Amino acid sequence: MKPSSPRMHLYKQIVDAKLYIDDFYMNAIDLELIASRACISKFHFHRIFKACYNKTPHEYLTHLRIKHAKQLLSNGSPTPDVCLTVGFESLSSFCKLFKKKESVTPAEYRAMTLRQNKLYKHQPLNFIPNGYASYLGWE
Amino acid sequence: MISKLSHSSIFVLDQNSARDFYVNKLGFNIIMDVAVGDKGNWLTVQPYDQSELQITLIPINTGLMFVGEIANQLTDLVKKGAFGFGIFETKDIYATHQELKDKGVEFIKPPKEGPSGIEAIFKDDSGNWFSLIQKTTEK
Repeated sequence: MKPSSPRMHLYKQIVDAKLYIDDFYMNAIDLELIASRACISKFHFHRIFKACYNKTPHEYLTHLRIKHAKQLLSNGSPTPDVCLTVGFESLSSFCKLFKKKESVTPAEYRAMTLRQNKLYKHQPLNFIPNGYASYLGWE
Repeated sequence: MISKLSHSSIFVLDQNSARDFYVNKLGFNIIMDVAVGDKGNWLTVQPYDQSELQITLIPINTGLMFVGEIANQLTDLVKKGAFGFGIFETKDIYATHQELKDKGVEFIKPPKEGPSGIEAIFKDDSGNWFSLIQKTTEK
């Protein structure tokens, strides 16, 4: 059954909160403040957010920061710059969390992806299924 | 025996616009984005929680696998919404519907309850359509 109007209002609040995190992940985000702005308890906010996005707001924020960090590292940005740019306050906690999530340190990830990007640039067809590429006219 | 599907292709009218749509509107991750000379990019994306199947965004460029009249016919068919390329799942269809609408994604059908779940239909920036479903057992 389609949610009632108050329920739809709640969805709107949760989506707004998620989009706020998407836009401002690099800032110090107070998730309790976001919950209070949505006029719902922190517990309720977390529960509904997790039901919608399969992650708590804090897990989602971390996921987003790591995702953007990976992008910046693969473009060659140094680890301390990336740490600050994506919103982590401490370099050591950023490195620890990154290693936990990605199984390599930010510096190792940066070196690995830069190497990979170089190969992509010079030998792109080595990384595409050849038969498919050939049929596409890319050989 | 065939063990799994690793790549599936979607034909798009403009690869840069498609990259923006799939990454910034649908929230997909880029897995590979490799320039292949001046012919376009090998561009693959994945939804948020998907780890194996890559979706390849193939531009309908004349000179690749599509030549002359075929490219024109395919462009017309994509624009007319002839292709439904797949079904995406979501944990919460009302939240996802709200979020995508807020981002400007066009829905052909809003969420509606059916025997297999609550389902909506949306279009990508080229005109390809997709089902979005929250399976009945999910919530």
